[in-house]
Amino acid sequence: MNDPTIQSPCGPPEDATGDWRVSLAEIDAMGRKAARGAGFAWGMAEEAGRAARWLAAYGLPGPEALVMALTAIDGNVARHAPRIDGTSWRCAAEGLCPIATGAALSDRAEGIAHGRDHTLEPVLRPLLMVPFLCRAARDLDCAILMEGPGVRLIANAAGPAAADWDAWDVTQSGGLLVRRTAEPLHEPRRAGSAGRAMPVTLWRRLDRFAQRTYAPATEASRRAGAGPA
Amino acid sequence: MPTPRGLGAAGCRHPQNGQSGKLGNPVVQNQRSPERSASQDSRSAALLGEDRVEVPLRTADSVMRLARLGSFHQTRLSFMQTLLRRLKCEAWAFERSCWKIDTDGVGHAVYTVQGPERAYSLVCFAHELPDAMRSDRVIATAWDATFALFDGVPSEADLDRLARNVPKQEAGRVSDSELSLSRANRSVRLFEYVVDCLAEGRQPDPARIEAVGYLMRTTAVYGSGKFGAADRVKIAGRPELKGPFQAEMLSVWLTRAFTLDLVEHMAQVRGGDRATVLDPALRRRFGVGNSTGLGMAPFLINHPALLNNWIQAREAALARVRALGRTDPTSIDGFREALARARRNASLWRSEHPVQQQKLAALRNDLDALAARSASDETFAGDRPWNTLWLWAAEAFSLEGQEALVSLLLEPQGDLVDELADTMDADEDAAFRIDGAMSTAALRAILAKTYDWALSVNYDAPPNCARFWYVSEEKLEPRLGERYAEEGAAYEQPLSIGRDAARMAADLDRWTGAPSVADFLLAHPEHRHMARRAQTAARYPFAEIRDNLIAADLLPIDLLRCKLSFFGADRFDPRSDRWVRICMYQDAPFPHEILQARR
Repeated sequence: MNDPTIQSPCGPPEDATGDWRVSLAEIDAMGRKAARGAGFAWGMAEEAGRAARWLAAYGLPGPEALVMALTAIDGNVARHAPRIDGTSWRCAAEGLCPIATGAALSDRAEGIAHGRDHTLEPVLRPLLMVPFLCRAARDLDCAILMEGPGVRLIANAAGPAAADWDAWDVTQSGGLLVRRTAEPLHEPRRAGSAGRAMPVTLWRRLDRFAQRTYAPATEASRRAGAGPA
Repeated sequence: MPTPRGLGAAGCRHPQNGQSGKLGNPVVQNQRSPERSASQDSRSAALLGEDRVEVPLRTADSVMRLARLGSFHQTRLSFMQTLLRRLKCEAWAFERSCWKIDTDGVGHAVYTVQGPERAYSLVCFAHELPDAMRSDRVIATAWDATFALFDGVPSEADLDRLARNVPKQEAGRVSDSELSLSRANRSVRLFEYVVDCLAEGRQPDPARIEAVGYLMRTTAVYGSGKFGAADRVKIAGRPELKGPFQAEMLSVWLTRAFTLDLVEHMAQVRGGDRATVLDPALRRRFGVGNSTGLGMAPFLINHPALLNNWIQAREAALARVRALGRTDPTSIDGFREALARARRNASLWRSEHPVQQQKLAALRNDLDALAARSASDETFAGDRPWNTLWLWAAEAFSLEGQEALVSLLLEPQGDLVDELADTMDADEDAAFRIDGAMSTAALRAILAKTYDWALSVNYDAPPNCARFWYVSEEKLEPRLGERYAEEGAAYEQPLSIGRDAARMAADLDRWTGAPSVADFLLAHPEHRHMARRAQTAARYPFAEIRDNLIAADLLPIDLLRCKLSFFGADRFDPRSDRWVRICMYQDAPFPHEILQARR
């Protein structure tokens, strides 16, 4: 028996081209490993995997956003992590990390629910923050608004709603405001359970990050072995 | 411990979807459940009498130790048992809807079970496999048989698609229509022997069947989204698959039927008119073999909320039985029958592993003592007789014996405990978000309460951190390394829970920033994994194994056995401290025996 949520997702064969179909569980596992490979601590890497999976379930380009965020942040996790001064968020590099920022917003969700607003400097791949807001809104039973130049989104327990999703699928946002809202939600997106197809090249890019988490085989480890199963 | 049974009318319930995965109150009070039927209620009321009795659950400090978890036996709450109980109670139908296996034993077959709302089909591919290629290793590329559990009844187009992918296993790709993917290899010796016997018109020797126990052993059963298969989310809302591993257990049960059909088919091919089929009683002696290695060991650690719900259901069941004020002849008979089966099982249980041999000897002694004590009706005459028996055994028995008694106490009490099977799944997403508003003092208090076993350990001392868990580039499977003898500790997986708890406690003690978990984790992202675990453990008392998982004396087989016991496996046979061989569904009925014929 096996645990697909944690085990290594199986990669496409070397000669595979075109699209590669993966399940949500595989996106989660791959996202987690890839983020770890890019230098995130395990607990933050778990957030990355969940975020990519969450977006894919809602029909949004989560794996795509993650691989581009990891490429931009690779090895510089701390520099992209948020530094919070009161309610104003910035970082030491070009663009806040969407995973660390999303997680820190989620950690502060109770304050948001109680009316505390946060202003963020530009965020890399801002789409990746949406799952954090939705999960927090669900747990705290409120609606959270995130908006900036040309982008606007409301998250609540039902899901996220935005007039223009393409506007969120960008390299970097402008400055953003995150706050609680009483606005009603119009036609939130719904989650599905189906896996999705993505270019095999994209999956390989994630896998290259994930490969960094695997220990090279040594004679000693081969001898010690893991049993035949 | 008792061989698979738990299929009687007692406990024939129809669990409803959407129930909480948590049990809540850690103290069990035996009282009428609104869901129970009138007949069940009258029996319970008679048993309980006027007085309400309470028995607290065993503590996590006592239960969540590796030595005890590694002594668990299957119970009637195990996943194979709950699956078969449901299929029988809900009068599912069965059909071998396709059998296209040629005279070389190559081809495909389809086994379909039809429930009240949905059907599921095991699609089986039988292959010709040269002996030299037969390997149980995860890195094998060819097998005697490969399988997929299809969601529904497959069309010809589905079968074509599966025929192109399932035999390749990892190198193929399945879809949202498949719920599991698996493969099996023959026990060549036993398979050939049984074919020979049947071809000549005679029954095989039961002793030779007993020595192996299966015609095929599965070498991997993948579910929940692996290789493109359907995600757990797709099936989690279906009552029949809401429980843990139900799709995988269904797949293995139908696999067993296929292996027996295949051996009889080959005997028919070889023997023609002379050939016979297996005697039904002898047929049941065959299970499905399984080898499980380190790859599965981290599962229990990686799914704390789920582990909690498994353990808590089992502990609540034990507490309910212990709380019974009086007992009745039916329960006593049921207990004695289960004990007789357990003793037979223990006498047949073989292992060459010295640790298991020692445990087996103790188990046999304990069961003998239990048989002597329970022979007398006096044992069951007083107030709370099951509790009296339990308290005696808890003092007198080995861990093997104590945990075997848990299984025996549950066995005749289906009315009382079977509903707990509905609480054994978990909404892990609900436990995922960290509560950043929690104070650092509260987080530290959780560590002091739940991880006290871990905080005073000196992790700089080599015996306390001798091992590290990692994933090898070669196999992409979890492995256990020797920190002081091997390279690779830089690739350590987050499974060193005790040490990580101690490290977080130390940083919390030094923390001078704002006193919220949100602020602490902003400064210490390296503790995010542990903070999530700790908050989960605070909500789920049995979420955390309370032993050092990187210690020199860790026996990974304890982790494997715990999980496999919840599957319903039996006769654990550790082949080293890292992998274990088991047999599944031995003695269980076949689909055609307990299900209706499908039309």
